[in-house]
Amino acid sequence: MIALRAGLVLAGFLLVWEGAAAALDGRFLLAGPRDILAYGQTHAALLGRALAETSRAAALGYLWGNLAALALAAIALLMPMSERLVRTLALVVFCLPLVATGPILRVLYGPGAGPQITLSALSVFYTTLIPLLAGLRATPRVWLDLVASYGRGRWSALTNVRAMAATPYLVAGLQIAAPAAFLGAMIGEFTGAERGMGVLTLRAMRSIDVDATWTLATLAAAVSMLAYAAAGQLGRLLWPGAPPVLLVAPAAPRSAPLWQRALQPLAMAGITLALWHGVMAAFDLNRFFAKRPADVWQFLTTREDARDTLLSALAETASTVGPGYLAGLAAGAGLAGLCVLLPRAAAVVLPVAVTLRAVPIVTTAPLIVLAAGRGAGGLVAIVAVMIFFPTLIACLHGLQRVPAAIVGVFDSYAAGRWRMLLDARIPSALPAFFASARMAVPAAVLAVTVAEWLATGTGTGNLMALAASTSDYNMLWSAVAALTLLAVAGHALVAWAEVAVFARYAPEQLVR
Amino acid sequence: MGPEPSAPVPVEIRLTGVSKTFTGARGHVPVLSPMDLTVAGGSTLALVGPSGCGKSTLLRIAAGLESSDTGTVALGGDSPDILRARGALAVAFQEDALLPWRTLQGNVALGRRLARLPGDTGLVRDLIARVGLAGFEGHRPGALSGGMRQRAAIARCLATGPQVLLLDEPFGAVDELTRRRLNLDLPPLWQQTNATVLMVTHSVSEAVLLSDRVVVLSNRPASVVADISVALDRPRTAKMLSTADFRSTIARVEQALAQAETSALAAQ
Ligand SMILES: Nc1ncnc2c1ncn2[C@@H]1O[C@H](COP(=O)(O)OP(=O)(O)OP(=O)(O)O)[C@@H](O)[C@H]1O
Ligand SMILES: [Mg+2]
Repeated sequence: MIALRAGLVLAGFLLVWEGAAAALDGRFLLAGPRDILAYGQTHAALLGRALAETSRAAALGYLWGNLAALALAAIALLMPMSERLVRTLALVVFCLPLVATGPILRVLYGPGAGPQITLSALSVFYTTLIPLLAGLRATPRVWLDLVASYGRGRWSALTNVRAMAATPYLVAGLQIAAPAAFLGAMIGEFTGAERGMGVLTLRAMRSIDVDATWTLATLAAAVSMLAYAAAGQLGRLLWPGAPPVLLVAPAAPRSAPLWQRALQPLAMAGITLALWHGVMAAFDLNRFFAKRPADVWQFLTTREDARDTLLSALAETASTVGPGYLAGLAAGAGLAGLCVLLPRAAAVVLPVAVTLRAVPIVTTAPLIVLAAGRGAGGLVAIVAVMIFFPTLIACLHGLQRVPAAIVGVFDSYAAGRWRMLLDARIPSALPAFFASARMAVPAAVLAVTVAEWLATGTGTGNLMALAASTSDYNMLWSAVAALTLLAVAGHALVAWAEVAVFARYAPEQLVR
Repeated sequence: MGPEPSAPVPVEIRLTGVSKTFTGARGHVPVLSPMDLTVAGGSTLALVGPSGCGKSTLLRIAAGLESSDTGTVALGGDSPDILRARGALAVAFQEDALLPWRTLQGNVALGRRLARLPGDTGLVRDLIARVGLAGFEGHRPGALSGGMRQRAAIARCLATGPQVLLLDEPFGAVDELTRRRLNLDLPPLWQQTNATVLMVTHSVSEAVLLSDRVVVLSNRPASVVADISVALDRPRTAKMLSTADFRSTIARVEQALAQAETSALAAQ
C-alpha cells in the first residue's frame, strides 16, 4: 500500500518534471528526466567512476566521523564535567565553513582523497553526537535508580540501560549522517580533487552544461536517498519498532550562578583559541598557510582594507542567511501544523518530505540558482529549502508525539483539532522545533557559502574561494574564524531563545 | 557464617534525624521534617499519609538513592551503599521501572543480573507464576497493563531474596481481589529470608494486613503523626480480615489519618 502510494507520487513527480522541462524548453535551464537518462547513457562509464570514487570517500568519512562521535559521547558520559566542553568544541568544528576548510585541507594533505574523507567526517560527526548525547541523557531517572538500587555503577547503567535507551537516537543520527557524508565528500572534491562527482559538478557548472548538472544532482540525490534508507533499515534491525526520529537535545539547564554562566562562554572561547594554536604548533604546521589566532588578529587589526572587504562580504552573506533561515523555519513549522490539521495531507507530505530531506540540497544549489536566478532571491531560496525539510520533519514528529493519554483527555471533551494543536501539540513539539532550529544554523551558513561560491560569486563564499585561489591564507583564515563565530553566535541565540521559552512553557523539558 | 545460610541475620532499618528540602527554580519545598524511624529487623512497617507528603522521598532516602539534608541512615549498622553493593536491597519504585526492550521474564531476571547473582530461570518463572503472570513471560512491558507491570516489578524485587525490601505503593494499580490474594501470598516469600520491609501504601487495610507497625505521616513537610502497632499473628490469613482486632486497628489508623488532614488544614 505504502509502496504503491510512493510509486504513484514518484510517477506523478516525474511526469510534472518532464512536462515542465518540455514547456520551459530553452527559456529556463531545466533538464527533464529524459534528458538526464540520455546524458547518463552516453556518459555511463565516466559517471560510474566518479560515483565510485565519491562513494568510497563518503563511506570512509562516514565511518571515521561516526567513530569520532561515539568516542566523544563516551568521554562526555564517563566524565560528565567535560560534556559542556565536548559540546562546544564539537559545535565550533561543525560550524567551520566547509568551503574554506576544503582548500586549507587540500594544502595540508596534498593530492589524494584526504580532504574529501575529512570533510565528509566533519559533516557527519555532529549530527550523530548530538542525538546520541540526548539519548544517553534522556534515560528516565527511575531506570538509573533501579541500577543504583542494586549497588551498580556507571558502567552497568551504560550497558544495561543507557546504551539501549540511546539506540533509537543513535540510529536517527546515523540516518541523517548518511546523506551528509556524501555531501561532505562532494564539497571536498570541489577543492582540487582529480576525480569524483564534485569535480564533474564543478566542471558542468563552469561550462553551464545543463544536462550534466541535472544528471549529477539527480545521481547525488538518488545515492543519498539510498544511503538514508539503508541506514534506516539498519536501525530497524538494531531496534525493532524504533520510535519516530526525534532530535530532542534540550539546551543545558541554567542552574549555575549568574557569574558562572557569564564566564563560561569566555572560558570556552579561550579553550577553543588555545586548542587552535596548540594543534598548529604541535604539528609544526607551516605558518604560511596554517595561520594561528594571533596571525588572524594581526591581519585584521593592521590591514584596514582587508577588514572592510571581509566585513562587507559578511554583511552580504548575513543579509541572505537571516531571511532564508527564518523563511525555512516558518515554512517548515507552518506546513507541519497544516499537516496535523489536515491529516490526509500529512499522509502525502510526510513520505515526500522524508525522501527529500535526504537530498543534499547544496548539490542542487546550482539548479536552484539556475531556476531562481543569480540574485539574492536565489540564495534566500537555497537557504530556506536547506532548512525547510529537516524543520518540517522534526516539527511533524514533535506535533504527533503527544502522549496517547493526553490525546484521550482532549478527545473526551471532544476538543477540536485547533484546541489540541494549540494546547497539546505545539507545547510537545517545542523541543523538537528548537533542536532542529539549532542544527539549522550551521546548515544555513553552509548552504549560503557554497551557493555564493558556486553560483552567484558574491559574499563570504566567494571571498573565501578567491582567497583560496590566490593563496591569501590570512584572508581565508579570517573568513573562517568570522563565519564560525557568526554561526556559533546564531546557535547560541537560538539556544537562549529555547531556554527563555521553556522557562515559561515547560521547565521539566529542560531537566529531563 | 553459621551452618544455616538460609536464615541470615535480619537487618534493622534506622533513620535518625532525617530531613529533606527540595530546592528548585520555584523556591524551596520542605518535604521531610527531621524525623526518626526504626524498622526492627525482619519486621514490616507501613507508611501511610496524604499524597505528596514525602513518602516516596523517605523511601528513596532509606535506599540511599537520595541524600538527606540532615540525619543518617543505617541498614543493619551499615550505610545503604554497602547493602546495595551486596545486592541485598531491592526497591519496587512507584513507577514500575521495567525496561521496555526486555521481555517480562527478562525484566524479572534483570534483578538477579544487576545483583550479580547467577541466573535462575526456574526461580524467575516460579515468581512470575506467583504474581499471577504465567503465560506472559515473553511479553514486553508495552503489552502489559499497569497492574501487570507492577506485579512484574515486585517479582523482580523478590528474585534476589533481598534482606531489605522497600515497596512504594506496590499494588496501587492492581484490582482489589488480586491485591488481596497477593497481600496474603507474597509476604511468606520475604519472611522466609527474614527480610525487613518498609512499604508505602494508600490502602489502610493493606497497611494493617501486611505490617507489624503502621506509621501515619502528616501533610508536607511530613512528620510522624501516629505510630500504631498491629497485634495480628503471622502468617496472616484471610480469616483475620473479619476479626475485631483487624477492624479496630483499621479504625485507629483512619482516625490518625483524618487528624493528619485536619491539623494540616488548620495549619494552613
Ligand atoms: N526531585 C524533586 N525535586 C523537587 N521536588 C520534589 C522532587 N521529588 C519530590 N518532590 C516534592 O516532594 C514532595 C513529596 O514527594 P513524594 O514523591 O515523596 O510524595 P509521596 O508522599 O510519595 O506522594 P504520593 O503518595 O502521591 O506518591 C512533593 O510535593 C514533590 O513536589
Ligand atoms: Mg510516592
